[in-house]
Amino acid sequence: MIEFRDVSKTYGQDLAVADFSLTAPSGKITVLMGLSGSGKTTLLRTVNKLVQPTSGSVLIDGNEIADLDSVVLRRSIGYVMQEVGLLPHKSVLDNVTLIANIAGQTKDEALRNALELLELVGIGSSFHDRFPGQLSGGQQQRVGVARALAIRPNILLMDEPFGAVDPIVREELQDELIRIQRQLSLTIILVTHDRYEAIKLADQLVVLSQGAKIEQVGTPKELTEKPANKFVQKLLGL
Amino acid sequence: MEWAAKNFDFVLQLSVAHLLISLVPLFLGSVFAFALVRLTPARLAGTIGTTFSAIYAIPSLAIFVALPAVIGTSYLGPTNVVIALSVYVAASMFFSTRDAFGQVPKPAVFIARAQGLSPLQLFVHVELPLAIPGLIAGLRVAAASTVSMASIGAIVGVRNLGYLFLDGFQRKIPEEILTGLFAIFLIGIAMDIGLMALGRVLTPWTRRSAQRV
Amino acid sequence: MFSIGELFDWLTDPENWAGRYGLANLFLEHLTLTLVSLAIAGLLAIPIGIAIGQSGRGESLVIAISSASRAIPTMGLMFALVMLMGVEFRQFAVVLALVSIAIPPVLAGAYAGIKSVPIAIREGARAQGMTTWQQIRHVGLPLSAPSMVGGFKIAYLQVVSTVVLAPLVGLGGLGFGIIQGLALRDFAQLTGSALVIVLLSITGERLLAKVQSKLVRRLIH
Repeated sequence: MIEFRDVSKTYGQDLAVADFSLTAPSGKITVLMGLSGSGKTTLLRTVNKLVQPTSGSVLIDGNEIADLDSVVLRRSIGYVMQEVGLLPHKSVLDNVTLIANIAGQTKDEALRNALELLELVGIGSSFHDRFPGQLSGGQQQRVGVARALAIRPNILLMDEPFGAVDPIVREELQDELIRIQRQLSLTIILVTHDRYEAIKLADQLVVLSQGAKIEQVGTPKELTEKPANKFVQKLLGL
Repeated sequence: MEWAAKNFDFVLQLSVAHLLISLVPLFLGSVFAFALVRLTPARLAGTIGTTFSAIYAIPSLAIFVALPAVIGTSYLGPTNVVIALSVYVAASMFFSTRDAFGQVPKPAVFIARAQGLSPLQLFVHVELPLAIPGLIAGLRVAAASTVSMASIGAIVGVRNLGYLFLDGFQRKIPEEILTGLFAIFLIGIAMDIGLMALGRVLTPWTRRSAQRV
Repeated sequence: MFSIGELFDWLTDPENWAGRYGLANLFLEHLTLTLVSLAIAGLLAIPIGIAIGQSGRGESLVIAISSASRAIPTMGLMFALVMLMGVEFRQFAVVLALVSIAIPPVLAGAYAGIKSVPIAIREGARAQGMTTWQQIRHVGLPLSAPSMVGGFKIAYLQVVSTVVLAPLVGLGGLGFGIIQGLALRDFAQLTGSALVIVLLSITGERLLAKVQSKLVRRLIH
């Protein structure tokens, strides 16, 4: 369970996030949806301390993350983003094992783990020795997901993870994400501006406006059937 | 040709000296530039850059003979030449090292940090290997100009292939000058090929990624 | 060793500035040799660079010339040319050496400048019915001017620095004070001449860099 308590973040004069409070339940997918500049990425990054809140706190299973070492914390949380960020100089397999090795798994453990994960995300063994530059965008993001899971996290943070792949592949990846999430009962916070993606993936859907102001929270069904206001209606394309 | 054959041992001896007086500054200057790029705070980068481009503009012979007045070394001998060439290498490697690290893909660095790599791990596993192509390119430029510039050291009494120019001119032996030119050219090419090969060995992914399957 | 005071005295002594081997005349010789060589190199290399950049043919030639030129010691080139052409033609030989030192960077600057003009802009100019000459005159030249000045800046530094060696083959220029100073152990003359050379090269470099950034800014506006 991830709790945001009155989280605010200012950059100089700009208020990116103002007094944001929310609970993302364990084993569920929480989707933060908003336009660009709504502060959704900033919020996501407060969870693994890539961004320090100006005020307020973030708790994971009741523990204040401010008290945790940021490197240790980050090694327990998977991170996936649109640009993927695979290491171009390492093979697919090495990209997945590197993080696990660094997080303290033994070589054997990391390798076994990586093989399992690559299978889970649908990357066949013929791709293991290739470099990221030899993969398609969709394949790269599959590897990106496997890498994020290599440290066996309970929490996965995803920032527009499928924004760069074409629509057909995107649907495929979304289906697989749901399958993997159920199988590993992951707690996921996913940021997107795509309403189809939001409605499809969310257990809990949060619609944000400027300054990460919560316009409405609920299941996709609740939001589509009873949008709280014009903004939600418009953003969900109703 | 005849002159070169007759004086082969002498030319070889000068070549070794020439290689040494090029390699030492290349090493010292690159390490110095590397340390400057990685260890000095970003706000000093502009000042360092301006200083280096000014130094780079100074003709080598002027530096060779101005150094004693600045740092109190003796006028003749290899010390000034080694220091001056090291400074030139540092000046050119400062910019190429900075660019090499600037070209490391941002998402790869970001995600490595997001997944909990410490700054040292980030450097070893991500930044350094990805900067190698840029570093090698920079070294190739620095090596070529250092090898060619080292010959000017002969004017201040350093025995290297540049000596063949001075001696050949004085004694009116064109072959001697041409031998020097050719030997320096060969050393330059050899170093260039060596660096290129090193780059290929260290960056296997650049070739395989290009031929996308 | 000598003191800063001695250096100052030497530099401010009017006697060291006057006459055939005075700083004033040597400075003028240095500058003349440099500018003449740069001008000739420009006349030769700019049109070729533009032609290669515009047509896309001969690109490997530019790359080969610029990488080979880096490995050739300027000092040896100058000595060899003077020796081969004969000492009585040393003035031509030195200019020829300087021109061949200046050509690669000027050529590369012109070529890279034209090459860097975005394809859309070139196509646009062609689509509007501009002739090749008009494309060069109205699109290529103005857009590539900063890169060309950049090429001249590199060439200037290399030529100024090679002219320093001209006294070794019997010509003048500011290197005279260094060569004579070394021979006579006159460290004030040596350091004083080096200082004037440093000023000449840094001032020229700064000046060209200024022109370059002005041209860039004019394009952005």
